[in-house]
Amino acid sequence: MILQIFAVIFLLILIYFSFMFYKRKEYSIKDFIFWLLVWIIAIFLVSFPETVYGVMESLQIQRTVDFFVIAGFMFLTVVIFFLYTKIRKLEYKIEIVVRKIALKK
Amino acid sequence: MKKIFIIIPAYNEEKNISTVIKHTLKYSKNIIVVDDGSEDKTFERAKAMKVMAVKHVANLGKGAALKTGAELALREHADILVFIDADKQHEPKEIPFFLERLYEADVIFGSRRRTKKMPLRFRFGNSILTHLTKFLFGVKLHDTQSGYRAMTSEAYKKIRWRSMDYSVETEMIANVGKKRLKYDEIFIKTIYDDKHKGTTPFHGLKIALDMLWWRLRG
Repeated sequence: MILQIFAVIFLLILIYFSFMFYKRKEYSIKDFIFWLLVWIIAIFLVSFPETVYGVMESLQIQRTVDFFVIAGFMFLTVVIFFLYTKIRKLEYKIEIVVRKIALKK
Repeated sequence: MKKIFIIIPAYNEEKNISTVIKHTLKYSKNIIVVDDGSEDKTFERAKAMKVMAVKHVANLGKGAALKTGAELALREHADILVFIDADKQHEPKEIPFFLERLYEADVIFGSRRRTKKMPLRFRFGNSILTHLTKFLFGVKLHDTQSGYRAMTSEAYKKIRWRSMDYSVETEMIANVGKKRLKYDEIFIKTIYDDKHKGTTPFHGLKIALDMLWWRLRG
């Protein structure tokens, strides 16, 4: 129960940050809605863990905490993969821009 | 008469750049200095030497600087590109040896001898990367990490690299192997003024992983 309360508070803080980024115009409305949905789904799952019992059973995971840790790691892996790809693309674009400026002068 | 361009990538080399240019000018008037976003007066010093100098508005890395220099040389209709470091590690007087050998090959690699003068971590890392290069790309060299190289502009067009950092030296070799270009190596003299410069073990690991990726990419 304490762990659940802690997780919900943590997720509420993340909602606040997402809202703040949106207000500062660092996030578009699309970004904000995406992250808001992610955090709301996480709050729902943490508050009502019985909703994942079916999935846990089919995956033969005994403890709810284990399920959330595994799910968390998978989510982080996906995020890191996308971030990596995005950074590489940005690096490549920056390289082209910097070279164009250098050769234009 | 072939048009020879000497490309010098430089980052915060205000102390050395003028000397390197001065000694290099003896071998070609076509010198391109690519200042990779230095915070010191590297660019101004190069300009003062009346050579072609361009500056990256941000620091991108050695690979990107070399590519900028090579692209500029191609625009100037270069036939031969020579790459030399800006930190006085390489002797410009060895440029004629590269040019001489370039009649029989597309790319000439400068190789440092793995003597005791070479810092231990370089010797160890270099040995691993050299073996890996031979195994993965069939290119047999004594040193894969030296930046002293020469190639024809036709060869450059075939091996254009994507690496922006220190991986560039290895990617060049990988591309030479994959494109089956004719290559040769000559032993060069190297001066190690700053032992903290150059490829770190972390860079070495990254280069090794990059090599596997280039092999898989085909």
